[in-house]
Amino acid sequence: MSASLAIAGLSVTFPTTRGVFHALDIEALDVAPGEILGLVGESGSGKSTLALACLDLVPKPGLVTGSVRVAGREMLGGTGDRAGAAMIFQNPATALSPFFSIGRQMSDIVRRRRGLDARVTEAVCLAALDRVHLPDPPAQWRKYPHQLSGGQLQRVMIALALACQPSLLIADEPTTALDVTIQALIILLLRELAQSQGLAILFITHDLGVAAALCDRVAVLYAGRVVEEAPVAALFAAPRHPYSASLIAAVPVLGGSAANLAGIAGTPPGPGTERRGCDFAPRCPHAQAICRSAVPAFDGAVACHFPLGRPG
Amino acid sequence: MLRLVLGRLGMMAGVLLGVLLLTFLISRLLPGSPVEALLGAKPTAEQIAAARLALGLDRPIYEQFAVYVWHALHGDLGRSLASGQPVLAEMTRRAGASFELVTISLVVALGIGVPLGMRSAVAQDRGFDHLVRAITLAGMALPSFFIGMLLQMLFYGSAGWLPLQGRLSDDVLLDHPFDPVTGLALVDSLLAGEPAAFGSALAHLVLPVATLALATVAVVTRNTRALMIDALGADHIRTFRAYGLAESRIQYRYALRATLIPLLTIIGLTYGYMLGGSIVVETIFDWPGLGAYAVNALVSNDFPAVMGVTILLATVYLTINLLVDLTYYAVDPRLGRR
Amino acid sequence: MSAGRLLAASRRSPLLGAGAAVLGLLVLASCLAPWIVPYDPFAMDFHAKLVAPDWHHPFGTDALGQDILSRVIYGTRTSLVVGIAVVALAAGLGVPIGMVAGYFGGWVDAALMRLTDVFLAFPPLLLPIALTAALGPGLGNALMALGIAWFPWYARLVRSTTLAIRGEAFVTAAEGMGIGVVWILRKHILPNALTPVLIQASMDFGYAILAAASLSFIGIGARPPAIEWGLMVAMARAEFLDFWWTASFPGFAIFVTVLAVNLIGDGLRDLFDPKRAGVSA
Repeated sequence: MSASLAIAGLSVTFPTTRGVFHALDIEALDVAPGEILGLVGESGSGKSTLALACLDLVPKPGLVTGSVRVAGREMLGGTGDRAGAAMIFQNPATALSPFFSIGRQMSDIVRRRRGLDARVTEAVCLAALDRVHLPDPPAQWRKYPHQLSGGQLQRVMIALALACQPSLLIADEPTTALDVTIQALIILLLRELAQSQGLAILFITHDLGVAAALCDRVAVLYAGRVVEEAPVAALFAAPRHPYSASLIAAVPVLGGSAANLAGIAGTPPGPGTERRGCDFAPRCPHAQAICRSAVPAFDGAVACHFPLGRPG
Repeated sequence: MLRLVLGRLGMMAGVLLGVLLLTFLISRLLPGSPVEALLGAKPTAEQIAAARLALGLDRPIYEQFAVYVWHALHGDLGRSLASGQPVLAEMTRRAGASFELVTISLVVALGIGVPLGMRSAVAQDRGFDHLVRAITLAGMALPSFFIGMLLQMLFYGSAGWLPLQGRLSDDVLLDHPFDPVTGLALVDSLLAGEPAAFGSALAHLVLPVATLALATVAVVTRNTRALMIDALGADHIRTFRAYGLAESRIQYRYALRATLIPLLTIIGLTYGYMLGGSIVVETIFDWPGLGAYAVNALVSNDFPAVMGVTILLATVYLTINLLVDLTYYAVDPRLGRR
Repeated sequence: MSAGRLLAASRRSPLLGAGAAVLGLLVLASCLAPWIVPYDPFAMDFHAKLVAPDWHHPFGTDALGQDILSRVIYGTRTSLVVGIAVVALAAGLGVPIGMVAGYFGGWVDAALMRLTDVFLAFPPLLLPIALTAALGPGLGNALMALGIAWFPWYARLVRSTTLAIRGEAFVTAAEGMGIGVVWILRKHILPNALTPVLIQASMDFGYAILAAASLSFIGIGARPPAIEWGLMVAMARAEFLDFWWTASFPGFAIFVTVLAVNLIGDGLRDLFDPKRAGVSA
């Protein structure tokens, strides 16, 4: 079965007053049907840019080259159809227009995507609202966004995505703005959908805990490049890239002391900074001369000249 | 809902009181006191004292203010020093002309500026947008009186197509009189069945309206463009784009709807802008409205008249803004609903 | 804002550069006015009344035989002073009031905001007209009236910036350390409030010139023998239909000046707009 998401040679750059900024540089990234791939990284790593790039939504003056295929269909440079992929965003409260009812907006989108008539569309949407465990779908249909809570709205957005029957769901930090308890519910919902419907999910987050709970595989993003990709258990047990290791070590542990909080000194390269060699080298405790001059290639698992742990 | 309206009216009353206080202070505490203006040159000490007594100027200031407010609430805004007529009556007679001028100019300015601003926003940073930005920048640099005089030069001076000034031609008025029912020449002449008078009124309206509208349209375009750009950058627009909704549907239904509320604000502000601008335009075209009245009063130091116009126009402006405020509640589902 | 940054900005935005260049020329003209005018701007030559533009009088002469070019050049001084004075007064009043309102909050804030509400209840130009009428006609009074009428905009602007910063942790920390209010205002709040104030001021500079010209036009601003462009247009009303140059050149001077100032204001605003910060124009 072909991959739900197949990224190849994707590059996104922005011209700035201080020079060209390479926001994203991804050789290959795949998500299989029914798989949940986590994408973790700190702010500025390019996570959101990747999400936008998958839907050909990178704002001007960004320049996008390469290929993003969803269920075999090329998303970039096309007509803007975006069939096959759906996205949910970080802030559900602003994701819909406050001036129209939820039903109105859902039917607008679903009709456009699936070309159904009004009655069938409503039925489909109501079924989707039910699928995400929202009580009394017809009542929600008539409501306005401001009348629902954050968690409920995020469910609505997931329902909207489902109603469009995507092969791939891109979730850009969907739980960051929500309470921890609501977070858990949404995560459970997503897992259930992946398992039952074979929905592929690209789950973007900066929260390692959430990634560990939900994802099958995790890709670590740094300065626009994938530096490590591994099954979730393997990544957390034995990270091979120094950045992944620092990220995991930086997560506060219940029962640990504040004195042991480990940060990562330094910041990712910004626009205009000259980039030579490995981007993480300035912050890496194991950096050597070659790290500063040659960019380490991604071998499918890790991009590092001296990966941690046993080689191979 | 009623409570809301009452609340807003209460606030407006408060501000209005402040307006009255400010105009009162301006007229009483600043140099150029009404006594000198009334008595003319070289009054004797006795005359001054007598006048002060008559005008109630010997009373404590707060008492004077209370009397002032009392009179104002009863519609007594004093008598014009120039004509001796009650100021309110004089203003009422002239209000129709100003209302006609400002309202028609508003419609024209909005009718041109809003669509232009929106198209400019949709074409952001492309050729059309740059052109519009350049034109509006130039438009905002032209003083209204210069626009008026240029139009007079072009359409009267060289071509004689349109009348120079005034509201109606005297000869037309003589042959085709009509009753001032509403105070609006266009309406009244039609009501009286006098097409010649209507035509004359219309012809006289063209240049003043063109001037006032042109003086305002640049700002309207700019403001509309700005709020349309904001609306197009909203998160929910991104959602619709992400789902592949047609760009036209996105713009015309969703972005437009989001601009409705700030647009109402712009309408209110533009109205106020025009109330101020009408003062200059009426002067150029000898238009018998409140603006010209104000200028004549200014130049002849006719205090009661100046203060009367100020209070009236401020009240009108406040009322417009109040109405705009209230329409928010009708238009935004987030407000007021339980 | 250093000259270097201004130059870099001008390179990126040619309009900003053009505006700055024109304004520079105007400033130069106003400084050198007494030496560069071909005629004494007050000298009346009744043999040369209402002369069309020619080699002797590039802008023609007016009804009193005065050379219009010389008068327009002198008018530059008036207009530049108008712009600076009005903006300085409005900001000078508005910024402290806004900071106090935003910082102290409570009834002080409420009272000051009610005050600004009253000022903002007047349609533009109306309050300056009333104030000038009360103070007596004249350019100085007109400038004061404009400055006083416009302070609420700055007060509001600064108040919202102050409120935003007030809630920041470092202000609470400073207060906790017992640092004086004035020092906090000066060192923390003022610098951040300065940017929007500067942008507003650059726009108001042009509006001030237009407003002063309008006030002079209707007869309560500058009065003869002062030289002000709006006044020149007003005085030309009787003849301009047949003698177009008497009103056109001063009117055009207003246009050019305000346009240049607005270009700079626009350019400054784009410069500081975070959305465009990373993008080359």
